[in-house]
Amino acid sequence: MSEYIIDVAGLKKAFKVSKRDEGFGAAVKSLWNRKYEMVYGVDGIDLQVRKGEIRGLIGPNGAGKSTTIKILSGILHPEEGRVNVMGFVPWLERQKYVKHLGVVFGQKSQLWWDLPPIDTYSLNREMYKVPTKRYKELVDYFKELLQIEDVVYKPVRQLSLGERMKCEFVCAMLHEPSLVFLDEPTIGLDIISKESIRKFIKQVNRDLRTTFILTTHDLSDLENLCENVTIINKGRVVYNDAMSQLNKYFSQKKLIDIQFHEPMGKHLLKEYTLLHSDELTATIELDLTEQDLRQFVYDLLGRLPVQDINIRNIPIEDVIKSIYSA
Amino acid sequence: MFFLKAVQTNIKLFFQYRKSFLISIAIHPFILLVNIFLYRSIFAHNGSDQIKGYTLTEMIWYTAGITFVWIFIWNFAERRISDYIITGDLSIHLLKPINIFWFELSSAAALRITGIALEFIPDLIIYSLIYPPDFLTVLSLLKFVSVCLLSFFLFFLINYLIGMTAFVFKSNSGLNEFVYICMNLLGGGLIPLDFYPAWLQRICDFLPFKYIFYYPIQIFLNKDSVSSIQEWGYIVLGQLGWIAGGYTLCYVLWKLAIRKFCAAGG
Repeated sequence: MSEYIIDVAGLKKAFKVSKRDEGFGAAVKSLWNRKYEMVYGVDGIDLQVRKGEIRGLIGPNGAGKSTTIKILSGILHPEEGRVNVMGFVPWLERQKYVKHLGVVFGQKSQLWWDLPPIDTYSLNREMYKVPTKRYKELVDYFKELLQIEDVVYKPVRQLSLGERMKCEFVCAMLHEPSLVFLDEPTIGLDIISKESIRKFIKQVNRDLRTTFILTTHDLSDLENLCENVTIINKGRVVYNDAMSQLNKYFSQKKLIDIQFHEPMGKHLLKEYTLLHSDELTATIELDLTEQDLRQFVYDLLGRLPVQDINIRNIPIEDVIKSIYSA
Repeated sequence: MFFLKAVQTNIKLFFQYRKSFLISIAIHPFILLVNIFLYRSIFAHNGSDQIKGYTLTEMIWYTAGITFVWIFIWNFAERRISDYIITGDLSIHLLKPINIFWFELSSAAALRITGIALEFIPDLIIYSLIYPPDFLTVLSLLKFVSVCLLSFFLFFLINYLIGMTAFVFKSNSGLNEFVYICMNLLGGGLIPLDFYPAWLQRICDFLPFKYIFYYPIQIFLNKDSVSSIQEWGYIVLGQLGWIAGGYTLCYVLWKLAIRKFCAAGG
């Protein structure tokens, strides 16, 4: 078997979008003469994920990440491309394939709303044919790991969002899937719940060697969980490397935060690229291809009444923003 | 077995709504009383024992039969399926190793098992105390239950097909309304089809709806035209024929539609 659990090449998916001009006349005309155009939601994606990885998959809204996930999980049929996930072509062998798959949606529930989670688990045990003994072991293991011993016996509608999300995770993991898609799993959660969900993902990843694909808009999820990240924009992969490399993405640029002794006039700072300034503080962006850092700081200290100085990399958030808007 | 487990889980769910079942037990006898008053006056006004071959007792119990058939068949698969399609929740179901048709059937079956236990049995007892059904025999009751089970499948398939039209129309509530009205009017869900002119009855012969209401109620009333086992057999065969056709249509259309499905939402 290949070293990759997910192996995708040249993936394309088009959507038919109806197009009409503005106004009432155009709306009437569109009843019999409707124009369509094909829009590529996914336009040639290549992606490889190793077994046991926690891979971040991010991108702006409408970038094509959900479409990619839906193709990978067998819901959508692509127009072009080769997809191999755990030896399956997802959309051709859906019922067989999804037995090895787990999914958690932050914004959709898989639990039965009016029943306690344990009833959904028990139905899933039957659905995935999990042996009773193993099922009991796993429920106990997850209950302890997430501290939801009592929660699973209360109707879902009475649970807090944090409790419900923990129960959703158990629901997705009970059949011990090799691959789990997490779609914004920490959305709307408080810091403590987020932390305990992240701990859970790490622990399961270690204990059961489960591969996770994580889509999120929360950078702290990525920083805490993912070694590698794939960024998708306009239907294409625009970045595919280690999280740590994102820090170095703008390695030729530095940010310098300065605090002054005394109020500074703006005219004294006009030759610098200022990202922010007020009377007593300023942030300057420095392009290292144009200036030497050592020399720059030396000049700065000589010219201005500097009390404190801090040199840092461009923050990941800004790196990602710049990749998104490219 | 997954299907039975799903039925069991659904029954647990519907027992959460036991109050609404109890309300319907309280309301149904009033509907019967209204029909008793209505048909008594109609028969008194006409001054005859029969109208179009129905006695007063049969006419009153025809309306009770309509209630019973509804208890056996009612489900909201059409709304569930179209909601899945329109909201994109179908994706969640496609990610499970289940056949959605059987999953929905399990939900509908559980709903009806709960309905039969909490509505049909108490209703039959209360109605019989209010207006004794002198025509009813154990055999005719068993035959009635058997054809009602097939009516359930037939109605489920119709609902499933209506639900699936959401793949194309997105909003199918108008179509749903239209089919329900046709089913009631042309299936004997309001008044017996015998009251219609011959040409309209002929049209009803070509539609599946009379197999849902009219024939089961005829069997319930133990009418001469359907009282033999042979006649019962013909009705069952007719129902099975429509069920086979409906199932094939569902199967083929689902295969075609699922390729076109654009899972909505992020």
